[in-house]
Amino acid sequence: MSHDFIKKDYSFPISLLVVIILGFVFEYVFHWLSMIIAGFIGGFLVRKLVKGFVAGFLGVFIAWSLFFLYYYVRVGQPVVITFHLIPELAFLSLIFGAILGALGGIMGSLVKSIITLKQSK
Amino acid sequence: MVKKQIVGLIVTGLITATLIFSLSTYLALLDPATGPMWTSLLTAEHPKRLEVVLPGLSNEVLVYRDSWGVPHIYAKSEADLFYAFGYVQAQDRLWQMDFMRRLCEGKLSEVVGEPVYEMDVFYRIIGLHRAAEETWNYLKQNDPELADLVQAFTDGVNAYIEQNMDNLPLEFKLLGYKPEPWTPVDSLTIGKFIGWGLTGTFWDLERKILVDALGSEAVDELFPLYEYEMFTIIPENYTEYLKDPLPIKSQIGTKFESNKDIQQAMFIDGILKILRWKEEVDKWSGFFESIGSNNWVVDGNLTTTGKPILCNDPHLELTVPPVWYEAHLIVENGFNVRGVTFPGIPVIVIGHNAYLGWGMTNVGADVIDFYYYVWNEDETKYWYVDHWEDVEQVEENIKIKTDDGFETRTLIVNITRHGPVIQRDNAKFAIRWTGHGVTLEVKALYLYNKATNLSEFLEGMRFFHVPGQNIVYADIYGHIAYYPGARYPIRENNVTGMLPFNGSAGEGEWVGFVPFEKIPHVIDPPWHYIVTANNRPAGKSFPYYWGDSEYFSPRYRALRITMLINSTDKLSIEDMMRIQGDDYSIPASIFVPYIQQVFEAKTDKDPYVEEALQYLSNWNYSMKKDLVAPTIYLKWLEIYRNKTFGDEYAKAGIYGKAKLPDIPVLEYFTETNYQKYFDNKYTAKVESRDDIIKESFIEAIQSLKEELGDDMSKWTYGSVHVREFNHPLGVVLSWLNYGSFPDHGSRFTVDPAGGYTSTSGASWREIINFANLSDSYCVIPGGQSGNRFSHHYDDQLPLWLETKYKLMTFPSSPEEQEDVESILVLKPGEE
Repeated sequence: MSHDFIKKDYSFPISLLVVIILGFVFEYVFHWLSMIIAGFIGGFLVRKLVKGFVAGFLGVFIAWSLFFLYYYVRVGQPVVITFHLIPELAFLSLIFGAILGALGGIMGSLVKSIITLKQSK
Repeated sequence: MVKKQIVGLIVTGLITATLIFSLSTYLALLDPATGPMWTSLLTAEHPKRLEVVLPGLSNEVLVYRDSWGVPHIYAKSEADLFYAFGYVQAQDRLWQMDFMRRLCEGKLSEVVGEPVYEMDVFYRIIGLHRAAEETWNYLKQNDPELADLVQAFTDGVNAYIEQNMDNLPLEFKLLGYKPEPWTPVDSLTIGKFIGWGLTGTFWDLERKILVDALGSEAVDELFPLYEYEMFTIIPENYTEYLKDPLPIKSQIGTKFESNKDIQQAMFIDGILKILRWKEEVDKWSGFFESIGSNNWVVDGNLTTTGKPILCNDPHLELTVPPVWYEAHLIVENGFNVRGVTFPGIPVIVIGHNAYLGWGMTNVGADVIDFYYYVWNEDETKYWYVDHWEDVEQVEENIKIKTDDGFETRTLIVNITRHGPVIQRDNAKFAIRWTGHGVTLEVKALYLYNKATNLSEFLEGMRFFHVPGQNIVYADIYGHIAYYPGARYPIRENNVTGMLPFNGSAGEGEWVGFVPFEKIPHVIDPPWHYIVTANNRPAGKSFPYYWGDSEYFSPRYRALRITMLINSTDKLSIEDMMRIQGDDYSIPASIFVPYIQQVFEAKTDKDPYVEEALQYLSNWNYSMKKDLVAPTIYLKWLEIYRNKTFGDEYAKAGIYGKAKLPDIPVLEYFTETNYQKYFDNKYTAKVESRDDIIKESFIEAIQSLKEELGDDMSKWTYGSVHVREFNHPLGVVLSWLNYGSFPDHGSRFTVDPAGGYTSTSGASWREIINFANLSDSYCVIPGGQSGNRFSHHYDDQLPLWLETKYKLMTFPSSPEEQEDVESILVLKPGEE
């Protein structure tokens, strides 16, 4: 990890995009626990706690929504039935994932703050 | 400054860890990639084309699923056909199959836990699995060809399980277990379970309680040996040839008081506990009192097609997924049968082949008896006639799911010469049932599936032992027939079997079964139709005891169907559909005029009573959901029955503990103005029938006002009467249920829907047109798939609720199959 990367405060859209991509890939390869890591990496790109939180939350929310979209492309109608039948469960899934991403995002931002503050000292 | 961040990091870490720890189960469940909630989506629909290599096949098998998800299986041999049938049943209904086998083998507490332990104990005692095991051993030795086919079916189920162990139905994941391999005994136990559900009644014990409390004279009046107004399947004059000089003897003379030990054995509280236990088990098992069925067949003289039309709607529990699984099985130049089976059963149970078709309703005959004994001190021996006999003891280990894992409890089942012993407190009875031991329904059904004419069909029926079914038959040659072939026990001296027998005295021994030829039957009747609706098959000319009036359904449904058949010169398919959906109440047409008559003379009527009477006078006795009159009538009937018999029961201390006499008895007492039971035993005044009718009506109106409000126009039947379809896990996960739907019908209408919340009804409706088998019709209450996210989970339900049908196509080769939604190619070879 280069010194610049650690120090640099990336813009929020970049952080969000990273969480979305990592959230989708990690979810595909691993499982739900890896959303903390996706959020953490996104949060690490921004120093502000709020940005880290939002990037993690929104990023995983979108990543998992894309996952449902992927299911829809694969199987079609059952996804429509599910969202019609139990929308609260689909929403709960997304919220659970988003909270994990948000917590990861907060931790990423905090670690970044700690490192940059230590370096600036 | 850094300190603050570090504290924040620690706090966030702790929150994250807590969240993961406390919600990991839900997170794992809801995870889009691996959570069973969402991965079940991937198997919800069958791919347009899928090829699977299966090691147990000899040749390629094609499975064409039509737009209703019904598999049409094309195989080159019967072995491949049965293998593929097992595979596709597992594809669509694996969890239901597993649930069924666990239920009837007493293994449910292994996955559900303590709440169902007592039910497991019950089924382990009854021993359906032991009887199935005996049957399987018999088949292997005596009918190896059929045994090979049952084994092929089993192999097919297991091939699916092995291939999909990581992708099991949602219910397995929710309950956290995986299925064990399927066995032939599992299939046969499910068959026994169906038989038990239709014949395993404990009415003899309940009757015993009634006799003790009310006296045998009263019980004979309230629950007569023969129905007061019999409407038999075969008209009485047509069964003259069955007459036999042997008279049926009453069993009432049985002496219970002859021995102190026996008196203890007959401890009433113990019997009540056994009955409550059975009631609980029945609730879980989906066995309800209102279970019944209709079938009828009309020959070409009475149809617009010039050929027979056969109709059947078996009334069973309306489960989710449905109790039936539909399929079409074809072997080149041979087997070609379409119909329904119970998931886990390898043959078609009801349906038609290229030559003939059949429908079933339950006979309901008394094929179960209870025996009590004198026991020795440690209860390892019982007295039999003139000597002590050892009980056979079988050890049953029941595994129970606990918070920490599993616990195993050992149950010792005692078995006497009559059967397994059931006990609560000092009430202890051996149960003798025709389903115990070897029974060959699977062979009978296999032969039905393959039969090409009536005589081959009847040859198969000789193997159908339990449950006795009223089978109506028709074929493409124009023949129709009725034969309720099964094992009906003959008790020594031709006594009735309405009460428990003194086993120690050697009473009530079964000395044989009614000979097949002596079973009332009719072939090509000169009146051109046959109707059965669980009513008594033949009247008093039948020389054997078949059961008292409680064993047979009241005449109402059979009578109504007969009336409708006779109301038209030539019946069409559409007429048959109308009959299956008929909701006219014969009891209402009998009782309501009495209500009107009672209030006729009265001038100072309450305005509500006046309005209610107005609704009744405008009523045509149809139990339609948008009408008000059915609500008023049913509430009145409930109160009238209770007021007539409730006081006698309360005085005898058995109110709420034993069933009240059924509606036909009330009808008979009303029509004959039989005063004895109308008088309220708790009042000084002597009430008449009309007093009770009037009181009941006023009370019914008051009760409905409290329940539904003052506006009588809102008392529609549909607001109090619903159909409910529940999944076994639906109590926790309601989205697995189909839901509740306002509906028409009542217990005694042709389209039945007993109670205010009806959970049983027509589990399958079929109308077979022998002029053109491909122009036959059917529907199940739900859908083919057990996967909640499949569109076949409940796609037939809207049709069913409106008594509409889907075409029951009958292509005999893949080339003829026009309606294809997906193709599954099962290829032989190593995986």
